[in-house]
Amino acid sequence: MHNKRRMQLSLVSVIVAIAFGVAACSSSGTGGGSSSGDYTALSPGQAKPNAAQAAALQKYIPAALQKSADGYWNWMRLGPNPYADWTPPKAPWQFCYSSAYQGNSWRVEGLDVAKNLWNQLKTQNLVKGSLIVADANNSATQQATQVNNMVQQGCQVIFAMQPSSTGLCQAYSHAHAKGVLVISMETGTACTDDIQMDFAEYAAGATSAQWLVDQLHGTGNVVMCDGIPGVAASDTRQAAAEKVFKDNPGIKISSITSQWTASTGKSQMLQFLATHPEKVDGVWDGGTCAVPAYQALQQAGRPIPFITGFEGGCYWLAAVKESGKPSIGFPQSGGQVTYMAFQVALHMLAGQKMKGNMVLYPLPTIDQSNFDQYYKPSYTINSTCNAEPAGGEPVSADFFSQLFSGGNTPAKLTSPLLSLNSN
Amino acid sequence: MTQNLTTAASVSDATTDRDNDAGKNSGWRRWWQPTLAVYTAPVILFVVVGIKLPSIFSKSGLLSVLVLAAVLGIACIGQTLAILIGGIDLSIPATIGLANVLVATLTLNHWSFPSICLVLFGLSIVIGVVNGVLSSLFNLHPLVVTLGTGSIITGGILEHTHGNTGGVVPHFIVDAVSPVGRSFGLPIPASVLIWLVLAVLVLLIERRTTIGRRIFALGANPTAAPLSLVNPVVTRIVVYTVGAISACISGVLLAGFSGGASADIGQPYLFSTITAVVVGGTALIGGRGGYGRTIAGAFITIEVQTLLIGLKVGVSMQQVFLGLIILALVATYGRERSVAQRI
Repeated sequence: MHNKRRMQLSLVSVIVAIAFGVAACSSSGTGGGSSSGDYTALSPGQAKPNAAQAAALQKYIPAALQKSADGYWNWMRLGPNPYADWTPPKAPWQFCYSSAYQGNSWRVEGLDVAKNLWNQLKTQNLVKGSLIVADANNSATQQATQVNNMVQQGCQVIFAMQPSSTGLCQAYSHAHAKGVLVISMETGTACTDDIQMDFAEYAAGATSAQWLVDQLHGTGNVVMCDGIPGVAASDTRQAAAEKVFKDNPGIKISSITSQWTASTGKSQMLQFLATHPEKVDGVWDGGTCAVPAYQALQQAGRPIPFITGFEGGCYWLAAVKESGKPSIGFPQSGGQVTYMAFQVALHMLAGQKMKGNMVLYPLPTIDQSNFDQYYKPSYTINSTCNAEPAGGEPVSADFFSQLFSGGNTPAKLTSPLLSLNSN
Repeated sequence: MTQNLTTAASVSDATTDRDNDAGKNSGWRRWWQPTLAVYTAPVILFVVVGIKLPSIFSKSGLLSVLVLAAVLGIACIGQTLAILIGGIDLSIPATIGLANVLVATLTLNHWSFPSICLVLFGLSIVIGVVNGVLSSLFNLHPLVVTLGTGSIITGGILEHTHGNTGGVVPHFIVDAVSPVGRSFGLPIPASVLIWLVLAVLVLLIERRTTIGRRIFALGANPTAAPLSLVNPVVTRIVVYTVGAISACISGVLLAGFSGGASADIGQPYLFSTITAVVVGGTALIGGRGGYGRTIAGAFITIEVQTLLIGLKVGVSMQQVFLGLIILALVATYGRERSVAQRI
């Protein structure tokens, strides 16, 4: 009798636990927004958009910016602007900065530029208090807690630097409900309560792959050096490049992975070269791999082929100069990301609206035609700085006018991005 | 004390290669001893790689494998000793990152290389003392202690540098890990020679010195070892200090390898050092194995990775195959009798 009762209790407990689990999963999976069904699904590795994704692109992204949004379904969910009905608070505003991790110079530069931009606004009495900063040490749970704390501390705009694609949706939902603007930087998320902002990862991956195909006249052995498998940005770049190479059957591809760590990239390239006597005609870099690949080829006594770059680091510029071999890369610094996020926030705080929840901006290209505008003789293969757009601004002047409509004139930043970093 | 140590060391002796002469075995078993398998596995594997991918026998192919094995092998010295005393050292990746960042940032600030080495040596002693004392006096598991130490080290690096870990790497370090690097006029990268010297030293210390026997005694029976006048605290401090020094050497070499510095550069070495030690056949419970086996394990680990890359196995499948091969190797020669069964 007791056993039967105990079994019944156990059964009820299990059912209740499952119900809670399903509810929690459902909530986090949909981003916690009541209209999450309006957002497209994530489709990593999918070459073409499905009907819903194609329709959303037409509906929410201005025609002039759709090229940059190519491949967005690989790492972003597109749908209506969750802040369409948002009434922006009046200045001075409380700005906050939640970083998933601060352990590398790229992230440090991002935060340094954010502090600089905040100071520019402070001199105009547009922000109050101090810039509240938190580092989650690569823990999504910790970052979610920090975002919740920031809401309690009165933050009105939260910049989330490269947060986890999942795991923060409940925190964003909570912030959104409290009228706090959340901008996720340099990544897409599964959430629907934040503005997602990144550079055109897919377009950049495709551009560098196409450049390589053109240099090789459509024929040759190419080594793809991918980033971190499973990381949305890395997989997106890779998917874009693979599509280009598959469209050119004369290109034979092999793959290694750098894990976005230079030493791993070099190890993998050395092992690849040790086992592949055939000529390497080109190397495609999915991030942090151009220079290690160049060093590995050099040390293995191989001729230096065409090697694409990606993030436009000063060390890459130095290596290109040293090798004398043309390359392609993109000025893509941590400072640029925060600069763009501040610009988006200022437009939204001025009451301007965009149709969708996504900002994908095109990156300028560094190649032979403008190499000297970026390269400085002081750069070495150990330099940690990043190239900034030669014109001083990451995007053209009409980018924001195409993206936003209505509202007032946004507050102006007094110094352009180029002047914020002393390379 | 010598007599007591001899008693304790008899445990270790029973666990090393000598016990392969068990007379009970017959037929092929007499020839196919687990220890023999450990040392022949990398040779057989290398032949397999060579048959499938003949370019591995080229000069650059051979030297690439040697350099990669050297950096891993040096990092494995500490892990082997830590596992031999029944512990584990999870602070190795952080210590590698510490040395990596310090050699680049201090060189940028015009420190001489010998001064940087002195700083790293001092820090290694501090790390070793903290790991050894905490895991002994407070009866904390080394896994927890070294994890905590590693976290403190990484946090300390990031706090000190504010994440700006870049710097300058002396050119001779770059040459030391370059497959085309030379040392003493010979076409052998310095990292390989450094590994050779360190390996001879570690093997001699393991087998010919009192501290070597204490390490085996402590790992074989931590309860009995103190009764044989083995001081567990001192032994653990020595082991974790040696571990930190070897991790620092790997960290410095990796600075030349990648031409830059990063606090996270040691992360891949958490898995790979443990893999090399386990694949070599050193028992995770301690007291059995040795650095000779780890050398074989380091070669096997690098050869398997090279084979998989050479066969164009995708990144995800590389992980699958690496796991399967490790399981197969350990199942082949990891069935040696336990210490209790041998005495």
